[in-house]
Amino acid sequence: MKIPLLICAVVLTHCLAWGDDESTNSFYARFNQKMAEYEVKIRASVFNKQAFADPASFQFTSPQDDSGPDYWSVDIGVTANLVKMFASDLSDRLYLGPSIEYHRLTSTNKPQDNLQIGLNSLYQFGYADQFPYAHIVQFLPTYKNDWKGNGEGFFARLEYLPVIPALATGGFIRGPDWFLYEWQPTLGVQLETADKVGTPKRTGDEARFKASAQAALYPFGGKEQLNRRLQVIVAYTYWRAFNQSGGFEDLRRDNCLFKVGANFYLDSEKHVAIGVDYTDGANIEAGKPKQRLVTAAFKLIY
Amino acid sequence: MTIKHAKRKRPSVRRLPRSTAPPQVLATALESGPSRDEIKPQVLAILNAVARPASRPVADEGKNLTDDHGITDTAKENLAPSFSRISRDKYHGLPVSRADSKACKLVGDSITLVWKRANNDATWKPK
Repeated sequence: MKIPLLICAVVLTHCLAWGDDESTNSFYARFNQKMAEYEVKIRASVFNKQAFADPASFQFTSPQDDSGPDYWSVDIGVTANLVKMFASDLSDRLYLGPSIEYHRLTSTNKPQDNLQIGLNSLYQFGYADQFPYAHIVQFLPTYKNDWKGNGEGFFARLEYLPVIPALATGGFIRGPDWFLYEWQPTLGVQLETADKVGTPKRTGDEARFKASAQAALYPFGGKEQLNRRLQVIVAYTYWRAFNQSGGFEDLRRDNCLFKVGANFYLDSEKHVAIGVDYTDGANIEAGKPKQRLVTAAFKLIY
Repeated sequence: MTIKHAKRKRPSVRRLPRSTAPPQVLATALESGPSRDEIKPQVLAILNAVARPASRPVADEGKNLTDDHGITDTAKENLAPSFSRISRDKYHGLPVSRADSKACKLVGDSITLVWKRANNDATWKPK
């Protein structure tokens, strides 16, 4: 127990030092520059590029009332943009690159071990500054292996996201200085296949609709001293299966996930944060079973 | 009797990369390209259309795009086609990539980026 705490303390100390003195810290500046140059992104989930970045998180929990053994969790995804290498003419509208995402929870109650490797592609139609504004389509084909859940399979997502600055979507912040906000609606269809699903375990596939809305709020975000360092994210996602076969017929047709969390960024570049999240529901995209929990975590975002 | 066919030599076409073009050609291109003052109002018009209403008009080049005008990194990426409309479509220069657009921190960075790309300069990067 003492060793993880010690590691966390050392990491946090370094982060605070970075945050305080980043302009003169050449290592931090060079690291950020390289990450930006190759457009490397580190987040909890990288497959929805336009969603508000949920930072990658690392947690260690040690129950003190003998309710179970220690457990740890990690939610991390990494992606990089390769479009410049073969289609630089489209580099203003296209994002194309490999992505990998891993979610692990060692808790004996609801363990999770989910890996996804695939392609992250995004194309923007239209212009954000002119009517009828910009419209983004994402196509995300992935191989997935859910060792604690549905097993191996193919998972493809096709999503649509509107970018309308006047409505505060697409990353354009609105609101007065004391309460800034942005939000992003998403509509999509998904196809998932798996080889160990249902009871008894068998193969199957499922096609479903997805609708989600995420909002990011920045209380007192316009103030100089607290310039968007405090971020509150509220997200609701709903999935509705319209075609199920094989083992998927044993599963629910409707799933929803509600999440609300607060992050406080330790550095002004907003790469390192500590945060608390409340989650209620199943995240079927990340292979997380239905659960209701509060977590506090050390978070990293690029 | 055997006829030996002489191997046909392919005409060698040597493509010169942009950077190896003679300096006088580059200089001519830069001279004929738009000036920064010509680009500036066009970029400001784009930023003005998307900035937080409370922070308009966008005029100060030293202002931060995110903290002062509410244009986050995702939004900056989504502005890349709008910037390319100026640099590539209007002045026949290079497109502004999503990554470069995102790397701009200040209003002035966006203006310089579009100006450089409009003049076919792919080397300049926002700091």
